[in-house]
Amino acid sequence: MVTALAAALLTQPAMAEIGRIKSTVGQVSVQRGTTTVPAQPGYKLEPGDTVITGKTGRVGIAFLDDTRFAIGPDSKIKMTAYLYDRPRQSGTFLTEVKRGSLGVVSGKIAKSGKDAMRVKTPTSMLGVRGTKFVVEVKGKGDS
Amino acid sequence: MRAAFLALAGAIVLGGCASDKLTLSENEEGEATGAVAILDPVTNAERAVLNTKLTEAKLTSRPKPRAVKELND
Repeated sequence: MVTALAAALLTQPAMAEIGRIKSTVGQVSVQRGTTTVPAQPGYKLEPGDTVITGKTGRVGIAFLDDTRFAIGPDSKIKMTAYLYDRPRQSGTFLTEVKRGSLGVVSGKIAKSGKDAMRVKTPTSMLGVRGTKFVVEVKGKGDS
Repeated sequence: MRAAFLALAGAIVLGGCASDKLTLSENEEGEATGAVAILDPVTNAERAVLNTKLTEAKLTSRPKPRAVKELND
């Protein structure tokens, strides 16, 4: 486990691209640190980025391991941690759904180990074991 | 890939619920291909596992998976 994590860290520099925005509808922005910028197709996402959509906003994202996200309106989703070792096709992925809707088609990370991909909500932790699903979180939470 | 995005986006737009929930979908062939476990955020103990296509569960301390007719039910 430690070896795999070390290998992943060595093969993926800190703050490297983890995926790209593929499509947007309506108001979509990315919060990185203290900066928030409008998001367009092709925008490169990094670990720690938070994607925020407005009342009519929607966004599609493709990650390096072929995981795909479809984020619905009035959502706030943080890609908290993403480590992917492409040669080994393994890694870990933690996403936080602070509010709104997240559709997921899982990729290679979810298949690489039990609960290697996790989705955190205000009340639960989801362990993804290779599948396609939707998470919906009500409320205005952003913590 | 575009078709998958559109399918998920459609489900999200049409979806509506009274509380936080998880819905397990199906792949392009209409099959469930895996599972999603609902875990206790502190202990990581399994509260429930969804492994049948078109099932949903509210994200509570005692989730009860149930079948749905379609993803946007």
